[in-house]
Amino acid sequence: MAKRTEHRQHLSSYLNQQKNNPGRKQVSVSNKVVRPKKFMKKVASVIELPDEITLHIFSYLDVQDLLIVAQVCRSWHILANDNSLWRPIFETYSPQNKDGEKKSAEKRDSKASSSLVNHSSQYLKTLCIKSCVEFRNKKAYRLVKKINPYTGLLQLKDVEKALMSVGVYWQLVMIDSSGNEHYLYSRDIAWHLMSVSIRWFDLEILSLRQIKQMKIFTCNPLFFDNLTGHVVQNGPYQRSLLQTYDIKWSAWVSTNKPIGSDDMINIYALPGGLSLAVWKDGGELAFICVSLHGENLVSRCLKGNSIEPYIPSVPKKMFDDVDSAFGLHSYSCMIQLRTMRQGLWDQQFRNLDSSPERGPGYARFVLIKDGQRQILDKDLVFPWKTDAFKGKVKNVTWLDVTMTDEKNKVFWAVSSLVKVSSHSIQQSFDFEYADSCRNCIDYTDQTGKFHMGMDKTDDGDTYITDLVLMLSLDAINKRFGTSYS
Amino acid sequence: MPQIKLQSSDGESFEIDLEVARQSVTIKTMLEDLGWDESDDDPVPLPNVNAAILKKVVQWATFHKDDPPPPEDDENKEKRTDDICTWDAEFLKVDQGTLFELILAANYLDIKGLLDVTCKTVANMIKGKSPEEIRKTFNIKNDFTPAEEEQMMSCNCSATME
Repeated sequence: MAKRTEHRQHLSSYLNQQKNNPGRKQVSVSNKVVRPKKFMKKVASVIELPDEITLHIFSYLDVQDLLIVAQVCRSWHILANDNSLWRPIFETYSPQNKDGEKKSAEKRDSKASSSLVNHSSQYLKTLCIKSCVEFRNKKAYRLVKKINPYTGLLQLKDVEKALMSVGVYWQLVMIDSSGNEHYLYSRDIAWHLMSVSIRWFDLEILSLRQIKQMKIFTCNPLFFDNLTGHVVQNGPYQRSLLQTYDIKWSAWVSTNKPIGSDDMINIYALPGGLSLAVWKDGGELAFICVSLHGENLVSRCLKGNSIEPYIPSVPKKMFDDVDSAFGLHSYSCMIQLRTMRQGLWDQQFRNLDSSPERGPGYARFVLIKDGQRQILDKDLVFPWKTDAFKGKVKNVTWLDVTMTDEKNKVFWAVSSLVKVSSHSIQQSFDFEYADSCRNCIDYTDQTGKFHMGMDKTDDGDTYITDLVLMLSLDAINKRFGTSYS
Repeated sequence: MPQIKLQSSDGESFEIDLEVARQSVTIKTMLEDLGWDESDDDPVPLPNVNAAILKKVVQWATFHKDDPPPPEDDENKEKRTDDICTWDAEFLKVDQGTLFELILAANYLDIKGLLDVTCKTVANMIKGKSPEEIRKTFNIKNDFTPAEEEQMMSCNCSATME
């Protein structure tokens, strides 16, 4: 505005001068003398427009577009964050209802930020987003309080409710070799005892060989209606990164076999809980599945950002009893085998002490011993469905494990698609019970190893005849600050 | 109808209806300040507007001379950009350089209707695009350092859209 007035004044004074000047017919000559130079420059680019005009243009943008233009270049970054643009947004969406509260918050914050001279013209944006995030997270966390005594985790039913109440949804981003991002939103989510499974299908947009990386995010809406508390449709959202998977498909598939298959698909389990189903015909993606363990799930969903996942605070190092069992006493463990939709078998094991015998580099817990047995009355299968097709992959199941220490803190969390092998794999794992297995499930990650052996009786019943968990000494040393080897 | 002469920065004169010219608050105020009357046939010099742009401005102002005065801005009312009339949309099918000069001229001459419609047109060119698409559209250089970009992305105060 100032500039405009200034130029207008300039023009007026110029004309006055002309009027009082007897030689005012020589307009063109005089023009050259007084013409402000910077205005003669041709504006070839939008960023050369005066700030007040750019602000006027930005005043027609909604919040999402404002957030986007702030990422275009430095000068736009400053302008798009200007208080004049954010004041109406702040007034409409900032969660404190009463005007008084809002103003005092504004005042408080303007004082706090006044030392940051450069940012003081942007504090309304910061304040607005901050208060929206606080409101949202409070709304969600209020719904999760109860710990499930069986799993040691927050009740996942409550977690589901909490995330739904703030409108969280799941996004898969496929990044191709030129760095372009392709977004997909899940239509298939299933909550279980210890984890949530998310599936994306109809993935014809990108060939598997073009995918360089996959990322899984939650999208967390920012704005809620002040009256109804509902999510504002098409409002801005933040993203929280959950997992990143580097995909070098050609190299990976040449050395890895599918963990299962049926007439139409092959299923591959990649490290980190990612499962890819690939059409046998054509070799392209049929669907993508991930399972996220419930540990810290609310925080992982709400508190990460679009670059880094939420990092939980490191638990305090605890002292343990130095003994042959590495001090691992009174541990508990919950195990579930399941499909995408329903549980097949689950069992809680309590008061577990690590056994004095151990495998190299591992402390070992024997959950089901030789001679004990538990019936497994359901087939271990993986039913799947897309819009046009469905099928059942035999001998593939989801495995969820939550191992908690004597203080009920989670030590090991697993949620992965696993294969039911029909032969013993004794050579690669040091399990003495493995000989007798007709079928077994093995899973290994950085923290531990899981082994389950199953026998079929003559009349067709399947029994779990051994179940062993091992925790790596590295993980134990890290947790307790010990140095077992 | 009384006429007034406007002279562009490059010396070209335009004779237009006074009522058309008075849509420019700058010209209107100036004429009032100066006590301009019909007998005065000196051209009003507009040193910041060249003939090509002035011609467009006059064309726009002539078409819109009977419009009601535009309403005052209400900051709390959501501003629309989908209400550009067909004639304006057609009129503003120009290259970016011309569009920006029209904006500057509208701003300088203080013609609110023209300023609004040209700014809306630019806003519509921005809407729904990603930062990279916006840079391509306007040929803007990304002058953020990689560290700044990362910070912007990760900062809890930045939100993204699909």
